[in-house]
Amino acid sequence: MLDNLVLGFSTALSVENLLWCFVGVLVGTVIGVLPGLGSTTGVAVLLPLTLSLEPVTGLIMLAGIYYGSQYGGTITSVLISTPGEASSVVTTLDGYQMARQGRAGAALSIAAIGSFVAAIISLALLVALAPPFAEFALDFGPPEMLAVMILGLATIISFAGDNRVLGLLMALVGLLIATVGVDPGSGTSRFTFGSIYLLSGIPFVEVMIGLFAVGEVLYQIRQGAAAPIRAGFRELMISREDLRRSGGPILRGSFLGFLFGILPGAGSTLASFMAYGIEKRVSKRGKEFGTGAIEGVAAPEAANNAAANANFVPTLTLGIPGGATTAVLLGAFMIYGIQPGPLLFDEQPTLVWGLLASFFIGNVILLFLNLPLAPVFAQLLRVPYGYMYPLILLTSLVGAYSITNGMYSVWVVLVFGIIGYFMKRLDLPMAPLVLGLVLGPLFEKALVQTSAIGDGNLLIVFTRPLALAVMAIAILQVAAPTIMARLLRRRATPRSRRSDPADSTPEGSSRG
Amino acid sequence: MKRTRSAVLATTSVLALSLAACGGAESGGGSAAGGGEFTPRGDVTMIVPFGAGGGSDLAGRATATMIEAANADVNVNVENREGGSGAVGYSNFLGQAGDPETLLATETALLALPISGDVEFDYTDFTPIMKLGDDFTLMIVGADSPYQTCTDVVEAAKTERITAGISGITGLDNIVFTLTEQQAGVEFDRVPFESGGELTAALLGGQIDIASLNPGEIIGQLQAGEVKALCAYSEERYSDYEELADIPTAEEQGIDVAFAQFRGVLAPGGIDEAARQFWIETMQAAVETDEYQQYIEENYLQANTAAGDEFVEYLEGNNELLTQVLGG
Amino acid sequence: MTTPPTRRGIAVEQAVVHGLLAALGLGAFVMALDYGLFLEESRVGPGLVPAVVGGLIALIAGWELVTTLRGHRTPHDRGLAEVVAATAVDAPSGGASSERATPGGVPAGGSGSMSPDGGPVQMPGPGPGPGPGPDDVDIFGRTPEERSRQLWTVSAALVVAALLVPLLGLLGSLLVLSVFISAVVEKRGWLPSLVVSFLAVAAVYGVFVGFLGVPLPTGLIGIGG
Repeated sequence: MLDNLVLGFSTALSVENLLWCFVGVLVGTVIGVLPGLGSTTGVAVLLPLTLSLEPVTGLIMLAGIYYGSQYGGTITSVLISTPGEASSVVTTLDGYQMARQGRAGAALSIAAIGSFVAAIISLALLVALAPPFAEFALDFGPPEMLAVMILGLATIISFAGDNRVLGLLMALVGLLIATVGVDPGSGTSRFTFGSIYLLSGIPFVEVMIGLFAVGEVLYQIRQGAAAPIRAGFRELMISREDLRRSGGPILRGSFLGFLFGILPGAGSTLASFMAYGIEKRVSKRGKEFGTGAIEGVAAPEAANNAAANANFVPTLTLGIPGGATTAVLLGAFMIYGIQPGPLLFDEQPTLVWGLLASFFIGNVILLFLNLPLAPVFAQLLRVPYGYMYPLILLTSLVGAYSITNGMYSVWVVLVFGIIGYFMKRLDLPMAPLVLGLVLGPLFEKALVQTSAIGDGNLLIVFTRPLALAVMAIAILQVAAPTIMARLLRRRATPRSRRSDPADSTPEGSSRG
Repeated sequence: MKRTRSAVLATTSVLALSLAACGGAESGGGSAAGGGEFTPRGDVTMIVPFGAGGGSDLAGRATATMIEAANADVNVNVENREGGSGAVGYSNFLGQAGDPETLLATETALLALPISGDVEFDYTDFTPIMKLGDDFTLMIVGADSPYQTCTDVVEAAKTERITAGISGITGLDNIVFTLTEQQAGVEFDRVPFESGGELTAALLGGQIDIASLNPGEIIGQLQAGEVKALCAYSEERYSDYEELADIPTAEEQGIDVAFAQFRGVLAPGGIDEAARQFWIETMQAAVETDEYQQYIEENYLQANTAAGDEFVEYLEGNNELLTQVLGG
Repeated sequence: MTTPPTRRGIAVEQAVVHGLLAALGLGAFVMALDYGLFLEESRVGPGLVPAVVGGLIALIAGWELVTTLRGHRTPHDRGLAEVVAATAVDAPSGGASSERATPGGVPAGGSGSMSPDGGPVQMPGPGPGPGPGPDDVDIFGRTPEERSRQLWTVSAALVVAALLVPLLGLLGSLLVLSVFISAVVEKRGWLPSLVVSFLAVAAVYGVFVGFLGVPLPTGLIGIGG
């Protein structure tokens, strides 16, 4: 083990690899900041550029782009409520509110710190325990995944507080949108109306750019330009109190993220939504979530970063991609002529350990890059919105185009931009819709597979111990809020009475 | 092996040069309609109708490299145009009719998509240039599976339930399983997945009994002894590959099924004869390059090439068989 | 309690949206029945999930529609009403309560939609409310009517720009879009608009074409690419 780490670091610390790691992280951050480009697109688009490099160097750079762009996506989530990918949608909930209150610097700092801690924890787990975790992940067959998806859909409860019915409605709309295209079981084309573009479904990255980036711009135009946010330097810095509050959420988020991340599929998104939901439950400040609670940024950021690293567990140990981006990275392995699979660690120790060591280095670079830069990025909010939004529109549209090299993506962005505007105007919650859209295909696939494995009997979910356990957690999650809420209210009521009347949570609205 | 290859390369580069040199004289007469010799103006675009990092992308990029290696005057840019399981890329390509500076990295979706009935093109709308190779599948079971041959599996299916993972209705694996069922009069219980990776995970986790995977997808697990390959659904054994040479063909085991996913290059429909000839000759030179060998070997393909009209013939036969399986 | 006109406007839009959603759900349900709910041996078929989801959407949205039509007593609206009541108690001025209820001032401002349970947040902005009220102008002195017009102008410009791509190329039409927004919508001078737009498009070109190597469509007159 120690030999391997030494080998890894000696590989990753070579001048060339260090340089390309830095370049990857930096480029990744920039890509993540551009509305419309997320890690999957970023890695896919830049893959050809790395072909001239040594395999290990190229992979180090691509991996740098992967986690760099996740951080870049956080920056836009916080500053302009435009997540780069589904896994940072949750960050917008509290991150953007913090930014509106002049605390963007703190939000970005805690995201950097949370991501860093999560990265280190998950990497340690990855290095020490990848093979057993990979074995564990294999036990998750279709019935277990079906239970996990039900668990994921149950988190909608956490995002629907007051408007539980509307939250459910939006999640259902997300699920319905997800059914467009060829069905996973029989190959029937559904709701395609003869269009070839709809055969593979409505592409969710484009939907996200539309709803969040374009929808937010349109909404801000109608809303009227708010004064640029001028925060004092002290407010831009993260306070000791912030750090104290975030410790628990970051740790819980990291472990949760790692667990979900090793499951092939929607690991990162599910992890960030679950982490947010759990923090909201366990936190004493549960009611402040959604109004700029720092825990609501720390937990999901830690979770999605841990999940991103955990995605490498099945990728490296089994050669089975853990997520969309690692699937592209696996493609890169193949292009370099490296055969991923169980023998990868034995046959390519320099490559694997060099790559893993570069994760450590890359995350350290990210932390040192972003911690000082967080207050600087926060200054961007001083730019009047009238100057900023044309640029947001431009990069959104070009970014959308670059996903598939086709105008169809641009049209999807425009249509969902207008839908997004109306959703914001009518206060229809977006997070459940995104969750439904992301989990929909996975849920349906697991459902179809379970029914095939059970020979038409879906109840096998309750006969497999692991699936049953997950189902029990899901049911608990739905049933618990009523009990928990009652308990929490009893504890929390005196607290909120004591709080300042000008506090950002008037009692009327937080009554759940 | 290596020596012979470089010898081949040496002769072929001479051949390629001479072809390029006398190409004008040769094709000039036959292509009066096109107006004589053809050379691409500017950069050539190779459309890959799937996303970056996939098998089709690999093939497209490799083809681009081998074309550039065969003819230094041609510069090929790869462009991914994904969507609709390839439908978007092919349909866009339909709109490129008459443009000899655009090529497409094609595979079985060219035939499967029209049969499924959702698209407006079929293979006759394009100009087939070259078939690069065949990607067959192997029947794979978990390492602790009781079955040793494909015959065992078929026999077992007569009395018990065998779950077969497939990667989609139009997937190669579903086609060979269907052909096997028709041959042996048995039935496998299908569990639909979406990729070779998912199938591998399901096999390793014991969720399904059998799967049919391309050698390139499963070689890592095979070499690690995590799975067993029972038979190859190919006409001939993988004798060029030491690690696969021991796997008998299905036919050897009494199941007369062989079906490949082909990899190839298409030009748009309606290009003139000179351009068609140019691309066929370029590709004939391209498959003699080192880059071609490397692509074939790294992806465990069988190097069965077919140029121009031969490729058209192959497509005709393949289409008939596919229509039988998928259309029914 | 009398409903301010803007409240009624929102209620009408809510009714329309719920009506549309109900129709969407119903349509999906009917189409899904055609796809087949189950395959042979009671396997889950292609229609099952869309039918169940569509049916639930139709039921929930239909219910919301009915409650909206009967005196705006949707759960959402009740939340809004309570906010209004709460702020009316907190702040004695009547103006504050109507401010909170303007379309622009939906609780929690810009991302209230994503934090449904979040109360109104104090937005750093002019005035005490979360956003400019019906009589308020924003910091550029725009009335709500002007802002509404701007919204539709920008939306239409986006669509027109996308339609112009085959003619002008992607970067070409984005340049036109950017100049149009700067000069016409934001009413900056033509020269600064041109300069800023040109710089913005050049930056986009640099990043996407120069660095990322994305092949952008050039259109008939071949700008960019």
